[in-house]
Amino acid sequence: MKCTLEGGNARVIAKAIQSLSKVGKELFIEADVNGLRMRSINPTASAVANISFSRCMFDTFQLPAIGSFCCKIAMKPCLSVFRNMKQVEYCELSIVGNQSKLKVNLRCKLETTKQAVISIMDELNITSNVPTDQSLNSIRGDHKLFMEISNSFNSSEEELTLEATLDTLSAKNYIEGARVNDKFMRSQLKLKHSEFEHYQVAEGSVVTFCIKEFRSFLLFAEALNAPMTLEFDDAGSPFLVKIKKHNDIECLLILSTLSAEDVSISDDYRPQEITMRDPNNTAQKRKSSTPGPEIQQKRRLAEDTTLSDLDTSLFQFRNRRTERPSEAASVQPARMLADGDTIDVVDEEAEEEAMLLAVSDAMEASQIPRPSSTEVCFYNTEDAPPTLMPEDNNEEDESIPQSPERERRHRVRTIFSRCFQNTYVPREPSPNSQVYAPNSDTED
Amino acid sequence: MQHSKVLYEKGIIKNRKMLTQSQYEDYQMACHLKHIKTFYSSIKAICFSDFGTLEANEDGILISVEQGKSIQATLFISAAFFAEFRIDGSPSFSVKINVLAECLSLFGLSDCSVRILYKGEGSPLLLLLEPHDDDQVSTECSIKTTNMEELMEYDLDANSSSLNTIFMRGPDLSNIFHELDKAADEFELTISPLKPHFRITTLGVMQAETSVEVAKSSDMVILFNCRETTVARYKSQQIKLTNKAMQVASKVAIKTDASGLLELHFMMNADDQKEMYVRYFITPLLETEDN
Repeated sequence: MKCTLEGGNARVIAKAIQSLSKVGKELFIEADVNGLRMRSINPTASAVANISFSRCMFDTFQLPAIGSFCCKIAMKPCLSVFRNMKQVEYCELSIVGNQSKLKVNLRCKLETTKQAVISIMDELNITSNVPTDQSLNSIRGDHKLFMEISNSFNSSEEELTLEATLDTLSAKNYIEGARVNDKFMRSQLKLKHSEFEHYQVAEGSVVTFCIKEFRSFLLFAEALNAPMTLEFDDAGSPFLVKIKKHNDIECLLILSTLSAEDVSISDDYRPQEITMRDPNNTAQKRKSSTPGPEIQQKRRLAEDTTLSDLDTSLFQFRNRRTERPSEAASVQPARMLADGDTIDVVDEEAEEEAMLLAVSDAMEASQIPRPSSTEVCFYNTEDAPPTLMPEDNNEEDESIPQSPERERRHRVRTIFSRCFQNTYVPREPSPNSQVYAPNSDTED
Repeated sequence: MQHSKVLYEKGIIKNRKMLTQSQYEDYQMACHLKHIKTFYSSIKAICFSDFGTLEANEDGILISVEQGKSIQATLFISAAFFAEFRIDGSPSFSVKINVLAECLSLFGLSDCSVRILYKGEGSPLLLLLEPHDDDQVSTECSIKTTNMEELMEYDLDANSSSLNTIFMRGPDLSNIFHELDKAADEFELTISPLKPHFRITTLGVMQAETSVEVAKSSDMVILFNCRETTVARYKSQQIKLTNKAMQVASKVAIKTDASGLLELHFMMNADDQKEMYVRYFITPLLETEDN
């Protein structure tokens, strides 16, 4: 296999390699009659990045006799060869050494030639069985917009949650209802559908994915100055990021998302490892004593039903329900909540489940959103619930009603006993480590 | 010194030069440099060993630094570079090079003028620094000296049949070396009358071998005089010791022959077009049996 390209296109390939290097440690190169494809997979197999260059980007393009070629090489030598591309006028990639090495030849200004010969590790390729055209929701926007979203969050954040409703997109660094420690600062960015070039959300959904690979792809979109398209279904289904430039360059990033069952039961706030091939799997069940299956189910139902239509008020009641120690200091009740323990929250949750079930039944029957009635459900104790309409957000923030008293303590303790143990349980593996063998422990 | 300065300010001594002469008549070496910028950056470039040797004669000053008998750097400053240069005999001694560099940088980034004074054997090396932008401040440093240690004498035979000489533009060569793989253990330098004319290959990196080639017709090559093909390997760590000098050099001369001994001359230009040179000798790595 041998292909050549001129400086500008070589720089694009260098940028692609730089983006892929942030995803995985190895580069898979595939060449066929359509062009050249570069892929990378991250260590936990939760993200696969694929960048395809069509044949017309190359000056010459020769395939071997069999018509296609694929190989796997280490990322590090590639990075060092393609690091400084400013002086490059011409680039040639070829396979030498009896199919065992990849030769990169860069002709630069001042009659300088840089050359690297990289050993090929093997001839594997990664495939993913994820369907790429069947997503329910699709959002396309300029890279600048997504860059803004990405920059709104700390660079140390691990994951990003996108909540898409029929007409707004919220980007958050937390999951609704998740318990986090006092020092955790939550951020949320809301965008109207009109900010995007194309916004099509069939039904509201919340997806959470790792932001690191997303950011690396975003860098490439910026280098190409191309819009990005996000396609997704709902929690647990793969999250696709697509970039397309002039029909010459097509990029696809497949990210796995947290499945709904993993949301908010966890006491430390980490995503589960989810394999690529099975978008609907339930991942590793936590060994901790999670609430009984019925409560889980109710929670899920709660999410499904309450997500639609009640966007702004939804956010509000989530606020009050869970602790918000990082909120403005004026919110006294919230702080007390945090200090005291999460019993109150949990208490509310238990109640909430029953209430929500009733409400959801009612909602399904009547199909009318009744924000005031759901609000009342939570604050059934002393305070008269404020007359809430979704627009009264600001006022609600300042006058958050007194949280309910501690009641039924003993009941809570039995159900949520895991909450009173140490957060970190050594036996649970870190989500970033590779699972070499499935757990044969039959604890749950 | 104070005395003379007071006299000067009072107008009794009119000639500023007399300050030196009256004070330091019996000194073996007394010189005055108006701008230390180039001098300082050259000293910093050769600071890779503890001690350096300073030799002075009527032609100028040589400061040499060695490491392990395999690399030697010498800074040549000709007498013409100095505003004043007075020498008596051929004093030579050793000082700690990094201390010398630190003393020169006492005033930070502001440009100073320096007087370098050496009374004689056993006396310390005196540096008097006066910054240009502030008349009220000056500093006097006294650096202990020791007897000079013998230096290795390296020499490339000018009449050797395989002597190759290349002159290159400093910044371009600096870029090339800068982009070489830092993880490599060894660099192999090939100079040949045939293609590749000038090539540096990095060795010792797993899974990858990289090389940079420059054609002799390139713009960055000022002179290319190659008699025979020479190939030699050098420890990358030693080549890296030349980096600082290469970064500030305007021109670089590369000389080597069949023995593999590499001689690098870096020409540093001061603002007023005066020049000083740093010369490096680097010994090659010998071929091992399994090659």
